[in-house]
Amino acid sequence: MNPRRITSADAEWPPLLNELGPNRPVNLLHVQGREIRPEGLIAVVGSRRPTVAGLDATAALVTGLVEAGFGIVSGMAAGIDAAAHRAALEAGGYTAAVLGFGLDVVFPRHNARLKQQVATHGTLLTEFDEGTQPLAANFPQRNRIIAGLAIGTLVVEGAFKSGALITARCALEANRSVFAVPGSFRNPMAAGSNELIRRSEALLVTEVAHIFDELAPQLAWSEAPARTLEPVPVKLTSLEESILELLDDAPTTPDRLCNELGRDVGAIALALSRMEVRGLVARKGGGYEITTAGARGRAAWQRSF
Amino acid sequence: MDEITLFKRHLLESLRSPLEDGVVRVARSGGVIEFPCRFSLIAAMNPCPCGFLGDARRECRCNDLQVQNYNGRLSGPLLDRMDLQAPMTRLTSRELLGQPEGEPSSQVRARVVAARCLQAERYGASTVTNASVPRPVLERFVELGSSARALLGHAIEKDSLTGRGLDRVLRVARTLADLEGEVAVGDVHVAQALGLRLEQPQLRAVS
Repeated sequence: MNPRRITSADAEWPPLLNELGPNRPVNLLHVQGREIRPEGLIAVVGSRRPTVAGLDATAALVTGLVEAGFGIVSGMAAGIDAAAHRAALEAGGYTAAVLGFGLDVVFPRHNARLKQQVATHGTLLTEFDEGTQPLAANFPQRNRIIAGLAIGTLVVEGAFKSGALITARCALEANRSVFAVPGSFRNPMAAGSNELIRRSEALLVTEVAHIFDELAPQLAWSEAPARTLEPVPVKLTSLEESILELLDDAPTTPDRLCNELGRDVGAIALALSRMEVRGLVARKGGGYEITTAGARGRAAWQRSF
Repeated sequence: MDEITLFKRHLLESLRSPLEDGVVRVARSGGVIEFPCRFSLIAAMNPCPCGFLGDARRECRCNDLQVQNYNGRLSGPLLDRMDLQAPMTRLTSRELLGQPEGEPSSQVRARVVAARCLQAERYGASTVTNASVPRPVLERFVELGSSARALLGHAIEKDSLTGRGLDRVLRVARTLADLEGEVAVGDVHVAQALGLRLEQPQLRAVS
């Protein structure tokens, strides 16, 4: 559908926004694409500079959420936001992007195609008039709409001071559930999301089921989703097992693996390359991280003891 | 070249043909003069202006545009012409303080000399190396097994290896085998050679 303006008098006006009280958007939204889905939306937000593990968690959880029947709201920023929209589209689900600028503006530029896809298969919406540029000051204002549209907000990697944390704060103020994927204590990008968990403001989430169990009663849904980290047996050599045990969501260099395992560079490089081909590990910033597929394999074999 | 991304882009791009052909060509109205120019380029750069992009402990303070502008100075084609690319991450205190002394340079030199001898013998000329030998000749001495092919195929399919990159990987793999005194290039050498190239997108925008 073409760009349109809606007010609270329109049938399309999301009812959940009215619960924002004084924070409720001024009585006008610019909308493009499909009709805004009125219920069953989860906000998925996070760092613009995610780790492989963060992107991976986003893809796995969003796919699971879509399969469980949820729609995904985010802010179309680089990083986790974009990954959330993409995963929702790939899983054939509904996704809405709340922009911090006018409908006709493309930001960041490399999200141009994604924006088009969301406009076709999902919904773009914004409070800001055409031509409004992406000013940093507009983003926090936009974040309260992301939180307001969703019955729950999931944070995947948010730094201490980050937009994702602002969205989580808005969700808490609106009495909505907040969920966070735990990150390594060494990962500065996860400091904020970890803090939410520490203060018991967010529910720790490693499985779609954790979100589903919390929200399904409100929605009167019954069919529980499959586990995200369901152990999936993979054939691993003993060296591959030892490597997977050492990997986490901060990049580990092959050199470090050589030192830890006392093996030569060639053997480590070969094992890493083979596991990369099988999607068990991924390269990032000069090192290797474990993927969801890798973690599933590791879970299967660790359980077999 | 330390801090290679602080050089002007057109200066860096002018390195492309000397790196590839080993000559500098100067064209003037009187004709074209060629100067021999075989050199080893060693360069270092930070991942972003503040230097902390991808660091496990400190947060990077640069915005996406700054990172793009900074990394954009080093073009993909120029990076593609570099044989060995190694990311450097922060060392832990244990690694900084507790490392045993490395191999002395004399030992490494002996290995290099031996590898050069192997190459001279193989190619029948002391000046021809794995780096300079024509590709068809090189390929006669790089026979890849099916699993090595699978590794290369994967890298090409996910766009992290170009045609030129593949050429470099084969030469580096051959050299790694020579350094070990191995007759055949094994999977191990191909995997290591692939590991000695950066993921291209890693230097581009972090999206």
